[in-house]
Amino acid sequence: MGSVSPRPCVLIAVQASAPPIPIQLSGWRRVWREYRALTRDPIYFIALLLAILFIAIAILYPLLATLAAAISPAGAQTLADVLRRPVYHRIILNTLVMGLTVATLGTAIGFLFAYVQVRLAAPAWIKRAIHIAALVPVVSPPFAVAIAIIVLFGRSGFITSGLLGLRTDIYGLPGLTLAMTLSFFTVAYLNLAALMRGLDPALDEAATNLGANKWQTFRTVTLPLLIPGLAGSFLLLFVEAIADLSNPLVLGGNYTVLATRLYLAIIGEYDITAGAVLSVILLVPSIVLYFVQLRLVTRASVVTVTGRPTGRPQVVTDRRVVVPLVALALTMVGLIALIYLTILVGAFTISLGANNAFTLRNFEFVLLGYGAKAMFDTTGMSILATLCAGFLSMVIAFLVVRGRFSGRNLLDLGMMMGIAVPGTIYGIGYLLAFNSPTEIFGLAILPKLTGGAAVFGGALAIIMVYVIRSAPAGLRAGVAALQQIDPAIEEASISIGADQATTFRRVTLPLIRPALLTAMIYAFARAMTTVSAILFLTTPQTRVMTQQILNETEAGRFGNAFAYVAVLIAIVLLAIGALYALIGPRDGKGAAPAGRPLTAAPESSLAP
Amino acid sequence: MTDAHSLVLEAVTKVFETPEGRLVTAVDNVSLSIGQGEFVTLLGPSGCGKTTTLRLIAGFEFPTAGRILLDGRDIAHVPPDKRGMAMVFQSYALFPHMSVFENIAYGLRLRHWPKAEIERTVGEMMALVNLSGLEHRRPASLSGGQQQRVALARAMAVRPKVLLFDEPLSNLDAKLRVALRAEIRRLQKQLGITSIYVTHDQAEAMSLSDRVVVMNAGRVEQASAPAELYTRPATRFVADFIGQANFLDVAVERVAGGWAEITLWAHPMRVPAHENVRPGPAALMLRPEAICLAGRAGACAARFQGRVRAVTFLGSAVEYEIETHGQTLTVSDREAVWGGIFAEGELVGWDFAPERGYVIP
Repeated sequence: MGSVSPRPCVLIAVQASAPPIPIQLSGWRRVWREYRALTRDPIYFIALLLAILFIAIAILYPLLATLAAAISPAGAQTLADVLRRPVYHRIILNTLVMGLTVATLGTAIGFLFAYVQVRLAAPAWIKRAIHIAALVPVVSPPFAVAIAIIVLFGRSGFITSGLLGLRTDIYGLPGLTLAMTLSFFTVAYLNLAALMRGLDPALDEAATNLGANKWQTFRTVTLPLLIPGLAGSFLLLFVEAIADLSNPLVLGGNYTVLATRLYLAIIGEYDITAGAVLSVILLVPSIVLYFVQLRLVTRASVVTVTGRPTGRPQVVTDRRVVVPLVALALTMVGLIALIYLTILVGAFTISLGANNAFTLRNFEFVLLGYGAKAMFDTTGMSILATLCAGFLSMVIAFLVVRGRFSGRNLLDLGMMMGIAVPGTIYGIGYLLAFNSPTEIFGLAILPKLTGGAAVFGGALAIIMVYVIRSAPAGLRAGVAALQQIDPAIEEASISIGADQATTFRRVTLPLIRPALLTAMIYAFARAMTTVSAILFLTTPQTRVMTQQILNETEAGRFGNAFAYVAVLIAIVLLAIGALYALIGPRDGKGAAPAGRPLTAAPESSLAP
Repeated sequence: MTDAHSLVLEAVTKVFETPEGRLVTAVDNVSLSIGQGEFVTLLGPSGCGKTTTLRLIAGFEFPTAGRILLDGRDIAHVPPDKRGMAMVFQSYALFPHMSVFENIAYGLRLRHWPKAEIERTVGEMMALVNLSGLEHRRPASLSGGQQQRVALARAMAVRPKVLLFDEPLSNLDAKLRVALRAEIRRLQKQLGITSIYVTHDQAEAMSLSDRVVVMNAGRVEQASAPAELYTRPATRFVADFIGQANFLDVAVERVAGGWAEITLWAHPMRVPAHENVRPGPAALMLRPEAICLAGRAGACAARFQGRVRAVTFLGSAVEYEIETHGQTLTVSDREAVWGGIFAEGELVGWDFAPERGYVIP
């Protein structure tokens, strides 16, 4: 009976399946087929459309508006000015010097912390202290350090003037370097620590085994393998430093950089065209360097993992190495502790240095008085932004990793622009793009989002900025998590009858919950601490804590500023706890959130 | 090469402390003597201590007790970079930032060899492992087999006193594994380097080694030449771990000169026995292919009867489960492929030549 060929079955099978797509289809026809295939699953297709719409409106349109303003005739005039006038040359030089200094020092400290953490035989409490000290800047606004530095080391500083009787001037490059380095080095630390952990211990063993001593192994194997990571961290810190507006505003003094000049052009001179031109000057190196570092860090993490790691990581036990490095790291930890202690003590003090009496008035101001509205507004907007960013980043990560359509990498790239572009530039871009209702062919699709009489008092624009600034990190975490999951698991769900949307909700999302947790923690912390991007977007109806901190600092009311910072940190920590409780590991020992919640998560689908 | 080296382990013990503070004895009182130019394999299930033993020899771990003698000198606490050994790793551990040439030259450069000498040696090594022409490639652009050959060349280039292998073939596919293990054996013989090889693959161990050391739970169960290991296993564990084995309960009456007089189901016979066998109850080990079935070419006395319970066709042989005297035997029948296969439930006569059995304690 087995000799009869099952021809009828073959015919049925051929008829039932879709006609095979010819390999030699011309590009556009293939893309058209791919997208038409997507429409068969409506929820999937709608998710894709929404993602594209969001990226187009919230991320790309403001950038294009900025470019358009810069390319106008008035813009050309300003550009000529910038190129000709020595005052601008000075500003550009200042920006470069500051960026290079901060990048060098920040990478060095990040490396020191990572090396002590991963490669040295040091007591557990020291490693813990180092890790916590490195993470504190993530949950505090970027210029909290700057304010504490003024109070400690400024003209009438608690230490410089009060204890040492010096008349130093911390404003300018020294203060900026100190504040920015301590605020930004976390990324370098996390990147380098992850890379060092990822190195196959057998590489070190192979070198040792062939006759290399510890120093030779470090010099010829460990260090060369970390160079892409070091370079990546350096570039990222450089970009962050030149893009930062808040620290130069607080600590810059007469040391003008591009970001502060840009701020002055818009807030002081109402010259939005000049602002746009300066933005583009800042924008080009930022984007280029951001993506170069992303690629470097990705390559580094790929290169270091070949085969299955074996053996045990070697730790350095030589006291001649351990003692100085640990001492150096602990000094930095001490400095960070001093700074945050200053913030805490300052929040309970009338005026630290001048009048050290205990007071609760600062907290009264923030919690019950004028500051309460800012606190509630900011927290509320941050919660909404967190939900949007968490959802959006997971959906886009899914589309990018699992999608079967051309151009999905553009989705990734578009999303990453949100963090590659300096925040200040988004502030200007939003002003330019959304100061009047957005129209397509005369049809209003969005009301006026920014400035006076904006919809929801400008809150919508602020939330959008929060989302575009924080979703990229979530996207990286999501992409990394999805790449770890065997597609067969999802195919199994689809094969027994679930559609794409159900599969995503019931199978994929639970599996990438750690990434979702990371994304949301990061989104909330980022939203609460964002300042550069929203300085131009706040309105009298919508107050933002970071802006209030800046105002209080500029007015010299450090007590209020410190109380704001303390409350802000407390809210962020509470939210992290709440998020852990809501979506964290259920059994208490499950997967912890991916260890790299920051901007430079190395697992990138942008890599070749 | 004539300057081969010898290695002796004397009562080496390694105790680890787990993160929870529990003590684990990974290597338990291991003594071993490896002769000049000998190829010895440490074989055992995962967690038996074979890798730890290798890492103790390499110097990546230091023993809790015992001595490790290289040419008579105790090196148990000499750091790994001063031991003059070289290891081939399971994950290859090629330096990804260096070319193939630089990888192989790495150890030579550390030894400050003159440039010309390095180039000549690397060239020789590349030719030896059939990789000439790939000098400037990066490891990532090579196949797994090529990468492991580079790792082998890198280790041999430094003319190590002892060459160490940590499951070097387990990341490769089956065909490549067989090809590479022949290559490793050829090179090792050609260069005469004393070698220690760790694997959990018994075929690999048997085909490569002068001597196989079977380990279990941190101890050495037996250290013998492959053929002896198979026909004369010292313990039940070894008999079971190497190939397949049937164990029959027997009573030993007398032991003399490596032979035991036993009674199996009222049949007295003389069978080779392990030196630790004493009169009393013991186990008779029979390999599946040591058993003959009645009705096949060649004489088979068929002193015993059994019923076929399961038949498995394997191609080169047929494997039967035969129930006999309340026990189930595994029998491998090479004649069945051409001589007809017994059916399930059929009664068959079976027997074995006494010198093909082995009595173990």
